[in-house]
Amino acid sequence: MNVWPLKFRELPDGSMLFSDDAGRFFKADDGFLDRYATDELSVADRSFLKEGSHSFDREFDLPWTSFAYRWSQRQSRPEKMNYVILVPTLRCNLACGYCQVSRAPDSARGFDWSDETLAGVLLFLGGLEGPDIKVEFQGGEPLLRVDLLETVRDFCREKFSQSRFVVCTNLQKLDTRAWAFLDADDTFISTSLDGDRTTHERQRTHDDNVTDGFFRNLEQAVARYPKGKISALPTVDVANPPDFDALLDNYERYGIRSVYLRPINHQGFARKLDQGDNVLARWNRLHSEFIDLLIARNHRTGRFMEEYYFTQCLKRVLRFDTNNHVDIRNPNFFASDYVVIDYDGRFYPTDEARMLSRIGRIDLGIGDVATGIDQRKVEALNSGAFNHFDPDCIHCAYQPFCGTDVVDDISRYGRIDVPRPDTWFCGRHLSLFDKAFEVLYRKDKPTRASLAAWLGVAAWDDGMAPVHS
Amino acid sequence: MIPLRIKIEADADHPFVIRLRSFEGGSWQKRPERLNPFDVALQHAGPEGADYAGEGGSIRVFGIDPSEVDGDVLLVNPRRGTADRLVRSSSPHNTFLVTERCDQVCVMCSQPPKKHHVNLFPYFETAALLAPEGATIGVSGGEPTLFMEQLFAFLARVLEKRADLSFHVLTNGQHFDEVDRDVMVSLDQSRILWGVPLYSHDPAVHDQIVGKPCAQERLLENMAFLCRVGASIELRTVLMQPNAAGLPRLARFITAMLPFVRIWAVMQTENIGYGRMNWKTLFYDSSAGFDAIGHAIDFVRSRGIDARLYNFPLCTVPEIYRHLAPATISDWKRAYRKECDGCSLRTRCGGFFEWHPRDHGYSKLGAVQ
Amino acid sequence: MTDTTESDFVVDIPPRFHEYLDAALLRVQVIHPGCQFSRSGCAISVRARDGHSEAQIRKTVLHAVYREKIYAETLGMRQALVAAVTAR
Repeated sequence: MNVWPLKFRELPDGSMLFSDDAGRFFKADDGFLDRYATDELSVADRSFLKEGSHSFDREFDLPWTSFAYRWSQRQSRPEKMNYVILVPTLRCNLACGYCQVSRAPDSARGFDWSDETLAGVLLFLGGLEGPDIKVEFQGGEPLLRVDLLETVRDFCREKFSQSRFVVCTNLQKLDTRAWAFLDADDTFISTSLDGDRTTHERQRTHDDNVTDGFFRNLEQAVARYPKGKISALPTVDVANPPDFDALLDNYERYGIRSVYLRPINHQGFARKLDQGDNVLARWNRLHSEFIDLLIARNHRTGRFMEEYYFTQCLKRVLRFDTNNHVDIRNPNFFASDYVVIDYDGRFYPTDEARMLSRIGRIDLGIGDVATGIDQRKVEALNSGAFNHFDPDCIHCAYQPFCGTDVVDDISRYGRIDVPRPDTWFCGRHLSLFDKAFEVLYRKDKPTRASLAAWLGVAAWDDGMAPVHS
Repeated sequence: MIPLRIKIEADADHPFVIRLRSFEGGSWQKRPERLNPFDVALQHAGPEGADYAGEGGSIRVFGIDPSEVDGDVLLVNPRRGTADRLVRSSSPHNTFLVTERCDQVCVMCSQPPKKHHVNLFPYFETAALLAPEGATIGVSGGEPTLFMEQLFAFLARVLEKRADLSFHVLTNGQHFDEVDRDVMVSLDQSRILWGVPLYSHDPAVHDQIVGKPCAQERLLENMAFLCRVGASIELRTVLMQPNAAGLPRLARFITAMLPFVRIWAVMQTENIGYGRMNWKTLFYDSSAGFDAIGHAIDFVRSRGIDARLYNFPLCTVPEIYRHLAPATISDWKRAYRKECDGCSLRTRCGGFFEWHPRDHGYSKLGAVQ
Repeated sequence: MTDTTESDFVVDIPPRFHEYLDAALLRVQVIHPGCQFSRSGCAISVRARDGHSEAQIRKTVLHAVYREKIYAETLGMRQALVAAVTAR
């Protein structure tokens, strides 16, 4: 009997979690760990490991095949390019406190696509294989150039058999043309809603009337469009978080059940914000409390809301095919299935990379629409884009579920070889997965009800989270 | 019940394949060049029968409405005076019974095996090539892979000539071998769904149900093979008294050992064939107790493996699982009951098997408001 | 709960783990940069200065040794898996 290598981690509550490279996991005690490490597995141990597909007898037998299948399914394979983030203008009609570096004033000139750049973008899109495409318009405020949006959309609808468009808009000013653009069935809205009204105003709109304008438009959009058309994200200041109950009430009020809680992106103006010490620890605690609050609220109301990224992490743990989120997949190769095109026609591997380059710390541009994607730079970035054989990750019980964030590492540390446990990304995900497993192994009814809803099953119960005793 | 075998008269000695076409106002009338050598056109229809003639031959068909059989492909047996409707063009449920021989004797078999075998593959190949655009053709038996070479040749040729067709092959998975690797890899596996039954994680229970020792062991070896050659597998588990309680355990086994299946189908039994003989000891009344099934379905789905409930009338399934119960009972053996009157779910429910018994069947059923 | 006293102690390592001691030592030095670790024969001497309890450090050392053993002994399996899965 050959046992696949087991990784282990002592959880905050003292229990011990084990996992293999293909992502199957179980809890067991210190005694099992000692027996495993000293090659003294008991008959019961062997039987448990065999049943759990942690071992095999011969290469290519069914247990081997099952493991190899699950392992290979967990690898995110490079796909053809089918997702493009376009920044037709850097101009914006808001001045959110955490974003100022990523925007130009409404009246500025030289921050929109030139005619050449537009032509270059269309040429690039025209060269994509298809048959489907997702285009996300970012900015600045993309609706300031709804004409450019229309041109791109018309082009894509013509060229691709399946197109989908997302407009990331602040919903501040919508004229008839903008509403008409958003009305289409293939076009979706993503906006920012920073919790309760007070927080939203403090962080984004700064002014009563401006805030009113936003909520008026949001209400109109919700009334006008079917469920699922509008999504929203809150950006949270760890030093001054919103009232989470009010945040959830507000989101639910606008028909949005999925909340993707994000900390202020420190690459923006927030670099200069004093967030105090130990931001990571405070963020982790905040997020953990949010999950607990969410579970209690879901149970109380009987209407289930989720924290989007947490659900994603749960699915990364339980399933072997959750490779579709660009923030968490492994390998996380750049410029393969998606790319960012800036207001000046330059390519960037991610939106964060674009913002980083904008504030001048490092140039992560990987070409432009006139000259194409610079594969040399992409390969350099890709060299750090997987975790399988990292000397820290290889021992980590969360390795099969986790990923990498080369851009975040560069942004914070100026290099990508910082020991994993010292990075924000690792600290963040250790906490997330600790929480995920805490929740998976809880036995109370409210937790199980939320788990079932988040995972799309009718019920979650004993036996769904394996234990070896 | 929809008749699959119809009475005919034909002046010929040997069986032959034809496709019925009715020229009256059919949309294909505008495309006369689409007439195929196997097509026969309706000449005349009256109380004495419907006459068809063409390059494919001539035939009089009794007891059918010509408008309902346009595009149907028949295998005509002139000596017996019957024709089998191999492909009903207006139905999604077309299955070729390629053999009645089988090496297993499943306790609930709806098509009990026979020793006699007639090689009909050439006819099936002709018929498949005449199937409507985009059709999925079922291949069943008996055990189709008892004639592995012919089956592979049939699949390869039809898939090549008709890029729009796909197959659903039911097999007990006992007869694959490493020597089949090259052929399997050369087939377009994305257009074949292999329906393979597994009744229990426990080899004793599985072997007992299929009436063949070491069947499960053989099957599992071959499942590894199927995974490695990229086959799409529909794992099928007929729900019965002997295996109902073991369903959650089977679910765990599937996630551990068979994560590569495309879908797991838990299926209700048919009261026909051996199923009818053994009904009282076999039928599991899921309308009275769904817990084990629910647990099992939830478990595999929590791990990202797709699962469905086949042949379950919606009123017998708890509301929260109904979205996993598509209408799967083939149209020709489907029936609704008096209790279905006024049911709000009727249009998306697959109903009952025609032969589901009044007594010893579901204890809880009836219109859902 | 951390015990804040500074302490010196020895962690005995069973013979079957000795070949992995050096690699484990390297790792624990990263995890506990405030402590001093040295190998003395079949044991690891620890000079603990970072506020972690003796029990905690013992566990870290032992787990690091375990991990090096598991890694070394299963590397071949991992390589064979990748080779098999990526073979044409």
